[in-house]
Amino acid sequence: MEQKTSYNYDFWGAEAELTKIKWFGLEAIKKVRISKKYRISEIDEMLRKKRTITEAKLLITAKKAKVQTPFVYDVDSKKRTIIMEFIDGTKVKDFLKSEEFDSKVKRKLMEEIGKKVGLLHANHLIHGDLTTSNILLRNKKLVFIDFGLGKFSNEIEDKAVDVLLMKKCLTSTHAEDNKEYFISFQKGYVSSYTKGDEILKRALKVEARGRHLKEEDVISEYIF
Amino acid sequence: MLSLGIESSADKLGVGIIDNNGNILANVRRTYKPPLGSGIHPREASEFHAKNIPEVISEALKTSKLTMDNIDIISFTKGPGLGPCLRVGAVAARTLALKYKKPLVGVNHPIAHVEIGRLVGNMDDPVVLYVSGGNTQIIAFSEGRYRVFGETIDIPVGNCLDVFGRNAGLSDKKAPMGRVIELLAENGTKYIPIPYVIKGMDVSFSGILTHISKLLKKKEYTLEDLSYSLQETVFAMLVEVTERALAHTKKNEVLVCGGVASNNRLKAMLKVMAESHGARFFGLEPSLAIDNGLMIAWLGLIMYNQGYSTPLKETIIDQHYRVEDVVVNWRNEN
Ligand SMILES: Nc1ncnc2c1ncn2[C@@H]1O[C@H](COP(=O)(O)OP(=O)(O)OP(=O)(O)O)[C@@H](O)[C@H]1O
Ligand SMILES: Nc1ncnc2c1ncn2[C@@H]1O[C@H](COP(=O)(O)OP(=O)(O)OP(=O)(O)O)[C@@H](O)[C@H]1O
Ligand SMILES: [Mg+2]
Ligand SMILES: [Mg+2]
Repeated sequence: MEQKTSYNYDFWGAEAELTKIKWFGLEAIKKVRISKKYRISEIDEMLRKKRTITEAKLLITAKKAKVQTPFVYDVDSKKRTIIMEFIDGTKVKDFLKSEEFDSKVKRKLMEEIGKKVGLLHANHLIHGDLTTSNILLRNKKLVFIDFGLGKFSNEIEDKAVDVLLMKKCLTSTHAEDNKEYFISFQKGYVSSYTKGDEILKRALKVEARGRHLKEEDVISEYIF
Repeated sequence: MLSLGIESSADKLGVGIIDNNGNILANVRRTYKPPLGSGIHPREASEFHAKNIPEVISEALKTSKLTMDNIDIISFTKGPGLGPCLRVGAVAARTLALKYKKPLVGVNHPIAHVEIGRLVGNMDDPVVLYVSGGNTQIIAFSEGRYRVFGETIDIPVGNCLDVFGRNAGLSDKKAPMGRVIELLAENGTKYIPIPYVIKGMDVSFSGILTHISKLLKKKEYTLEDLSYSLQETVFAMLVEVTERALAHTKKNEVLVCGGVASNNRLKAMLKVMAESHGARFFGLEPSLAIDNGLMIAWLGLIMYNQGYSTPLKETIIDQHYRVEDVVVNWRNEN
């Protein structure tokens, strides 16, 4: 049933080994959360198990919120393993960095991402690691992955932190156009999520607090 | 070319002197001690700095057998930090610059931590974990600037340790609080579960502090076990986010600086993590990891050589000075 198709891990993440395999004839990804020798086993075991279960649950629930995710084929929490659909596409990060597309197309994509995140939040789903590496693009459709740090929550603060993760990812990895990208993201976000405004207001507060900034210093980067 | 640097962004007052080749000629430091059981009081700290700064400067000159005439440039910490404290250093630097007709350079504090680490650790392009009482950040160079890849969304890790220590009634008279906790932790054996909070590449400690304070009040656990559990949890979080920054930026060096970088357990964990990625690890010794004037002198020198200088009229400080605000023209694009 499970058969390896490639022996080199093309998809190294920081916390897991990902291998492309054949699963009952289908192209699949096997994600194994590996043990980290730097931390004590109590913490290591707890994190790997909890994140495997969380990730599988959220991948499945996100579909109900009309957000595309890979199909989960199998979960083995003891082996800290998830087998999921292989998404034949590109990372949003690479798309945004590519010279092939003009900035209008890229901003449109950011708006689309904002809409999808709005849908997740409207359904109380927190992604926990929103970055342009954790969103894939397949046939012009967005597919969200890597939900291991996520949770189910209706707390404004949790949603605001999610939004901020995207903002920070844009600043650190897409420095050149980050401000426009974040504006587009927010437009999409408030369009699909009625409470979006309130979340953005909190995001500003959390950002100012964590960075010892005054709210006036960053308010212009928000659209509420 | 000789640079004299003044650091006064928080409770430490430091003056260092360094030359163009990175030879350390002096690195003098004094620390303001708040009354037992309380945190830094900015105004009192600034009064301490103002009182001590003349002596610290003379001591630095004396140990290096130099006079002000030998010094070529004066550097100071422009920010971020506590306003009243920063102002003392800035005013002293401007006074010296005016009196001895020397150029003046105001520098960014976290970047100074990074640059002294690159110099002493002989590192080219590290991912930097900067952990102290006032800061918790993961910094790396990208697209012409230093950028913050991860940080605390509430309190700094050193602050979390310090408040836990104070709540536990520990004294930091003989050693820094973090060190006192480190020693207790060495005798801890039982892991008590504590919330583990990372959000993307960010960390959060305030919930942990609340939780551990409750455990403390219960009096069911030994201080050794609590210290051990707290350290293992917060350090695992820090190493994990550093690892993620390392994997995402594809760099191959890891540097740790700031007061908490003195911790042996943290350094051991970072080393294991770095080596598992084929990366080199370097931890600064305390005299250079903790806030010091030398790092300010060194960054001032680098920037001056690149054409930076601060007009005398403009020696304003910036309490919220961000690392991204500085155009890093002394490094090649990576
Ligand atoms: N189902 C999938 N189909 C195709 N590619 C995938 C799939 N899942 C993951 N990948 C690829 O592998 C990379 C790493 O996966 P993932 O983000 O899940 O791992 P991780 O170890 O959790 O990474 P991180 O460092 O972001 O925590 C992704 O950025 C993506 O390129
Ligand atoms: N061995 C140790 N283990 C853990 N923490 C330590 C150790 N030694 C010192 N510390 C902590 O380091 C912190 C002090 O850091 P530092 O001396 O760099 O000053 P700071 O004013 O906090 O720095 P900054 O202005 O850069 O934020 C305190 O929180 C202290 O408890
Ligand atoms: Mg990922
Ligand atoms: Mg992940």
